[in-house]
Amino acid sequence: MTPGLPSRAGTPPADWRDTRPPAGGRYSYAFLDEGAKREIRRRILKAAAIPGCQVPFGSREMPIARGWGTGGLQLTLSLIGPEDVLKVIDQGADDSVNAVNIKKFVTRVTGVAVTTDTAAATMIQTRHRIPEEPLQPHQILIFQVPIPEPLRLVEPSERETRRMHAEADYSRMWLYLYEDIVKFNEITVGARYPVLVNCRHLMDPSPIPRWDLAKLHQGEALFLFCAGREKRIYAVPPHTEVQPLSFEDFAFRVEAFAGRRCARCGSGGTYLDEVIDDATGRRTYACSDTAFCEKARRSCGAAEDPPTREGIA
Amino acid sequence: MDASGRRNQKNYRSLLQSLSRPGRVVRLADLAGVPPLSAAMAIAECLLDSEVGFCVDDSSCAHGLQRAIAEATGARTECLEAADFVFFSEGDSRGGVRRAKRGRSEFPEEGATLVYCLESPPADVSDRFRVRLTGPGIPGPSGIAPEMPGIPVQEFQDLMIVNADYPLGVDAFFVRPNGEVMGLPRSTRIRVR
Amino acid sequence: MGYVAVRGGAAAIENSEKFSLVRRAGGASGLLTPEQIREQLYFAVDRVMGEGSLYAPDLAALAFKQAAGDSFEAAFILRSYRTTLPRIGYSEPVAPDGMRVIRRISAAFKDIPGGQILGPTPDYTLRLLDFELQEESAARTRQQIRQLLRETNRLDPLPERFPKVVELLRREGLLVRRHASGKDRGLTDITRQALSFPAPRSAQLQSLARGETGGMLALAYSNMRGYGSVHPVIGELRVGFLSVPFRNPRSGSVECIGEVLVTEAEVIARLAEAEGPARFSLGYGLCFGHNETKAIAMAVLDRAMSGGEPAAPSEDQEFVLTHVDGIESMGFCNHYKLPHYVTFQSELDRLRRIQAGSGLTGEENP
Repeated sequence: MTPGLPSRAGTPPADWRDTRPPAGGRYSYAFLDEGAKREIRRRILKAAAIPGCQVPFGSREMPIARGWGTGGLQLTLSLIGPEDVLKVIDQGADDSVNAVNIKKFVTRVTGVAVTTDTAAATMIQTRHRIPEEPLQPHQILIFQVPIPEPLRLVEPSERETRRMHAEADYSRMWLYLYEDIVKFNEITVGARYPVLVNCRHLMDPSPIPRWDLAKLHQGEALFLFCAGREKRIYAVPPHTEVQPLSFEDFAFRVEAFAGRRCARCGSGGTYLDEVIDDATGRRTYACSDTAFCEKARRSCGAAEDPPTREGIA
Repeated sequence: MDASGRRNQKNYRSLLQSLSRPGRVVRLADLAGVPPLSAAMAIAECLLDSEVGFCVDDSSCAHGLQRAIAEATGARTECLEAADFVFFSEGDSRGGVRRAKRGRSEFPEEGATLVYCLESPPADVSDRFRVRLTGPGIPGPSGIAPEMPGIPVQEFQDLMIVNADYPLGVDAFFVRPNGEVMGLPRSTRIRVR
Repeated sequence: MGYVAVRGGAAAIENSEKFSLVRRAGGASGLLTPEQIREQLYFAVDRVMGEGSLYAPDLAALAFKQAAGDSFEAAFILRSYRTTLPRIGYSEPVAPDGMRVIRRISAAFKDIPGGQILGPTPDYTLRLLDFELQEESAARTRQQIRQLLRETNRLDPLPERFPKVVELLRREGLLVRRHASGKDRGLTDITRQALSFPAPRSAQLQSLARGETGGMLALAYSNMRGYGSVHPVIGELRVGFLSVPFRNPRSGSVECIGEVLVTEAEVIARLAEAEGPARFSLGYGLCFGHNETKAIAMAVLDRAMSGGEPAAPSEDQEFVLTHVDGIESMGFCNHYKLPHYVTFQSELDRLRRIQAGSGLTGEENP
């Protein structure tokens, strides 16, 4: 990669006006300066052009700690505009502390409207889940990714994993899964299950449960993934082949809930959180996707808070 | 957000949309500069700055696109083979596409981004039906014909050859003076009758 | 019903900020000013500047106050602020031998041109807890300082320039020649591009210069103790002020726009060369502020990573550079506190299936 120095030493770059501090010491729109946004935007295009391929980018430090969503945040901030409606979830929940914190920051630097209703959102930033409601073509789903490299399970060196992707040499991953089956009669990989994208690139879908992988395959929306600390962006466009690694005689399996239903809304077809009742030690189960659960409850006639949509001037 | 930031954000969303749904026509929201190259300028302002190199492949130097982009963005001028962005200001690369960089096996993303600046569409638009596009972003196994007419079929054939060694390759935008854009990433499989 | 509602995230965050305020400022003692921190806790401020990668002593002191003394947090706050600052340009290269020195020593030679200048160092103090500092009298301390300044007026001034010790070795042909080759030519900017390995030396030095002191110390220590082969001798250690030259974009002339306090360490290690005579090789360390531990660790790691096949983690460039950034390591370490119950549910599912498959349900595996 060519160095990013100005071509004439000592002369400010032609775009230097972009980088002057905004009047009154306030932050730029969406916090990132135009140069940072442009770099991220260029990288996103390349990621979309090569589905599943990790594209390195100049990740910026954010006021939120590394490991806490700075990657997803940089994508959101580079894409967002005043007409967008943003939803942020963590483990499927809109009001988890991490989601609330991120929403607070984004609304502070953009004034954009936020919602808990999946159908009303134009951009959704998520940690570890895909919403249960099917996404629409105009929507963008942005995944927070801790470790973008699917081969990290079998190889710690980035140099080596880069070579493996270049040569489509995924034999060590296949071997790992095969050894699992031999040892445990099961594939022990839970979330972060490796998938093959566009029949070419092995990809880490981020720590979403296996339950959610089918939603990546031939979807309607654009899926963008970003690891801020590891500095990688990757993408799955709509209508793209996404297949979890699986053997002919040992099929890929999703999590089983043994026919259990959500204790709040009664759904039988969603990913459930297991909750320990602290009084009795009993287990109850509820939808991980809290917004979906609320909608289902209301459509059953139960009175509960409506989905929030706050416009912030 | 200031006016140019706003314009870049909106135009970028259109560009991302067009590359994620290849073969479809999307419209840039907000053009920049003077027609007929205001659409190309809008793309340049959106994506280029002093961190990248570009080349305008333009046999008649009458257009002035090269100078306009350099002044507006601060991007470095490079030869075609080294440029990150190549503008074919006459809508036809005349084989130039084959010289653009395609990336290295460990860094395929280094492949160039091409911008074809097309004139207004010609009268005969049937040529596009000789081309079939399939792959990521395109629903259905039988795919679609490119929605934008007036692109020389030879260009599709050249792109097919250049992008044959996926994931190495180039990614293209075709743009019209009225702001219509069609994206063609290297992941799109092209077939020509 | 036993369902525990997980609502109220926003309120919980607000309350946590209020509780932190009470912890920091709810006591009876007078509130610290950033000025006090900058002047009296200067090692902390220098460490925060170095790891925050922004030379701004007042802001580093403010960040340290805001973080209630957590240097990881303070460096993080400074880095985050750095992101918002415009990139105006690049300085001209600086020759460090023009440093306005406040401390300068060499372990390689008993005496050196210009002399061994101990300067302000705690190195030779006895580490006995000084109870007199509990009731330090401002008047008496200021009197002591006035007395000291009167005495120093009668001493000879320091020389303006101190020649570099390594230059002497270079002139004798005892140092390996260093030439930039291929990728090493020109500067990369690690804040604009992701690192890829093998990384050029400019990227290596930048990463180390902003690295976290404790992490770098542990890695360098491992090498010094034997997980590696550097066996360092400090050729020269300097602490002083470097002027920052910048080319005026209008007039074209180079002007000094300020001074930065830096610590520089040059470490000499023996190198067995494949062909030709054996020569010494050099490891280089430079960081913002007065931080000798970091500069020495940096020089040792710089040397350790420049060899051939790594025989230990401290010699593996990818291992070292990936793990020395304090903002990244601290962030990731602490991110495990975030909810992980969805992925844990997935793991539970796997384990239960395995146990079910092997005929064991909910009992200990033998």
